[in-house]
Amino acid sequence: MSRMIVVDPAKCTNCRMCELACSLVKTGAFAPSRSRIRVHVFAEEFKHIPLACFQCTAAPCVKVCPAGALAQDDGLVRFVAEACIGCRMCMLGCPFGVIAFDSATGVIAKCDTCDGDPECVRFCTPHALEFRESELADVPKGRDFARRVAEAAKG
Amino acid sequence: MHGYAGQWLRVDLSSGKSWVEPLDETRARRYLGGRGMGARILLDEVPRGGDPLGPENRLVFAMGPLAGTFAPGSGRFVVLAKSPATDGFGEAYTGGFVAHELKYAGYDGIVVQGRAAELVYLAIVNDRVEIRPAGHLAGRGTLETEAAIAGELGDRETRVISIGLAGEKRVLYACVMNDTDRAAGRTGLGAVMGAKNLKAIAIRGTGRVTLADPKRFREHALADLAKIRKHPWLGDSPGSAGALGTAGGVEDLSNAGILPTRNWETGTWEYADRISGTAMKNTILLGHRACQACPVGCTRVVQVLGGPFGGVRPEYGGPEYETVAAFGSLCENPDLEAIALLNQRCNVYGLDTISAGSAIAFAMECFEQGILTEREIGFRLDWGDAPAMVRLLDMIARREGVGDLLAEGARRAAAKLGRGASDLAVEVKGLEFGMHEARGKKGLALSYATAPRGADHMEGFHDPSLAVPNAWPELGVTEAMDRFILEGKPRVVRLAEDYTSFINCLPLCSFMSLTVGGIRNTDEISGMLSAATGWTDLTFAEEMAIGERAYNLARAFTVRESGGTADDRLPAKLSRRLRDGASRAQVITDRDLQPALQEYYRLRGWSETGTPTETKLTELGLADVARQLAGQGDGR
Repeated sequence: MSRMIVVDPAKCTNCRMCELACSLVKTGAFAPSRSRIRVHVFAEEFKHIPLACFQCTAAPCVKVCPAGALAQDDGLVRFVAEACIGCRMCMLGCPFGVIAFDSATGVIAKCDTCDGDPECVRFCTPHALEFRESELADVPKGRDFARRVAEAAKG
Repeated sequence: MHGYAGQWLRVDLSSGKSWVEPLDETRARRYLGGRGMGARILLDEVPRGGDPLGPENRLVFAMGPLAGTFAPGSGRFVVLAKSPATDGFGEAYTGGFVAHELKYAGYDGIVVQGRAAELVYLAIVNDRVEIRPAGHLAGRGTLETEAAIAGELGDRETRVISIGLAGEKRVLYACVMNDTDRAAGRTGLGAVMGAKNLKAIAIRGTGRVTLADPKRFREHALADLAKIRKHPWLGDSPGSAGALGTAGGVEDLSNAGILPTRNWETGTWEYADRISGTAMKNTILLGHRACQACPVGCTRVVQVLGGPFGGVRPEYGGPEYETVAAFGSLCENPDLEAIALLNQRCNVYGLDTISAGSAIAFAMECFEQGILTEREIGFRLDWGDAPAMVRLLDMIARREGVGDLLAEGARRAAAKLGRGASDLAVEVKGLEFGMHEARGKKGLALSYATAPRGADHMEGFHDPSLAVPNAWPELGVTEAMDRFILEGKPRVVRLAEDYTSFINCLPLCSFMSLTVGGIRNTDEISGMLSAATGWTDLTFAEEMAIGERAYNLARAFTVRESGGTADDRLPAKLSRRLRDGASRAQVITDRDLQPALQEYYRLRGWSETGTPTETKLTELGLADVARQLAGQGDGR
């Protein structure tokens, strides 16, 4: 059973620890502009949405990659930097905009869940990010929704 | 040089030129950043007796070696200048996202000098620095200014420092705002920015901050985070600063008789529960958010849609403790929605909520005593009249009518009014009190009297923290102390000030430190600092010396500008007995203070009149500052 990073935007405080932690572990320095996870802010709605690669099963990025640098592998979209030709087709293909081009390396950058031990999750103190079994990932969300139904039924 | 960007940006608005100056490591290790670097620059470059609102003043924005990292509470910078409110050392700290962005743009700080011929803004995109016209932004509020500038630069990730109308109008307690709802609040630095015709600074940085030892840095940061999360006030508990905000303790303060009420007549208030963090949570609160790299998130986010105080939007955050007390109990206003609106207007205008609330409370008492009349004000100004407070706040920001007088701050307004008004102005050196009752916290009275900025609630310590033994063994403070007693406190005040001053040189959010937050994390902070910079031989004693050096620089500036008299006096109100509550009948007069003051000066190595001595300054490596204080010119 594979695990995935599950986001609960309601808990995100916009502290950006995830971006800082990601950039340090991936680039060796603090540089949020090179983070594999990004927090998008909608101040009027008071919403902060962290987004990283969803590791799609039928991943469009894998399909469009002409160099074989991306491959779906047991629930993870793996990226092989050595194979990447820097064409950015995957960025066009990705429906979520969670693949970035890293001009420092000349290849793309995307979340690899730190090989099953994501640093962003470790530093997410409000627990807006969790790393969970993907089959169970939506259970809490489902339960939250079910609670609202239950409350509505109560009147 | 790891941890640092390694250079400062210099901007001369008179000539329109900008350049960078390298930061050398010796200087960095002596002053670190933040207060240390800023105070050094003020002493070196602002001429003795210079006009705070003249082109000769310097406006400094300073980060340090931890900004840009994930050190908890590192999303912080400090703004400094000679203060137009006190004519002494002006300084104000702020959180948000600017500190990190400026480091990524490649700067440890900015010094702005001169004055632009017309209103301008500064656009910094990495190494590209441009002065652009801002006439179209005149009078605009924070959010509008930020949106307009981000649009012009074509990048929504742009971070903005700006002033509102109050800064443009030189209100003497105008703030420098950033990230919409963050304020470098105190000492009127927004007026300095306004006097330079500088509407805003926009920043976009895509660079990086490197560390000498990333692995060790990460371990210390994780250890610090673990301590913060376990802390009763900063962690996950239902009464924490994250859950209830900094106003979570309003009822406790009222119960202890130290909630500033009715312009400091009493410290207890029957309506405290209506304005507390819990009341906010149960009514107007949408949630909370954090500054960059903060695990706490004390920022309130509130909304008030309709009603007499409607139009309060989540973008502007929400009122924190100082604001709640200043516009609440201090003015006897129990309407939380009104407080939220006043807070938002202060963020739009760029006004310090502490001094603004203090000015209104002062005016209310003047009105009650007939010193200010309905005719002079234009309407009645009774205690707790929230609509009148909103009207008066608008008049202050626009400098209209009596608002023009109150825009000068309590001390100057009282002097102009005469008629005994000075007895009602609660300030030291021209800076109004933070919302902390010194008659019920006697150690705080000493730091209010002596702090470089004036009545400063962020320098010393708050006596209730020492009610239990072993509060700060790291500083050698192990005995429990009664909050009503002054004996024994000068030593503790000095130690707390020096450690806080070190934190202010980083600068790091005070809440996430020993002396303000009460977290036993001195080792973790030392660890992060040494792992970031590579200064592996750094000791706690050196950190305390850095703090003491910066404190003496700040003090020296205030002493130099005051012409040698430190003006370490408490306002008349504190010699009046608190009316009721658990601190009833407490007073503290200048006479009570004298023995403690002399002991404090002695411990600090200052003269009997409070001037840092040549011996002390030389010991701190500041012999040149001793020459300035001896009247031999200034630093230029």
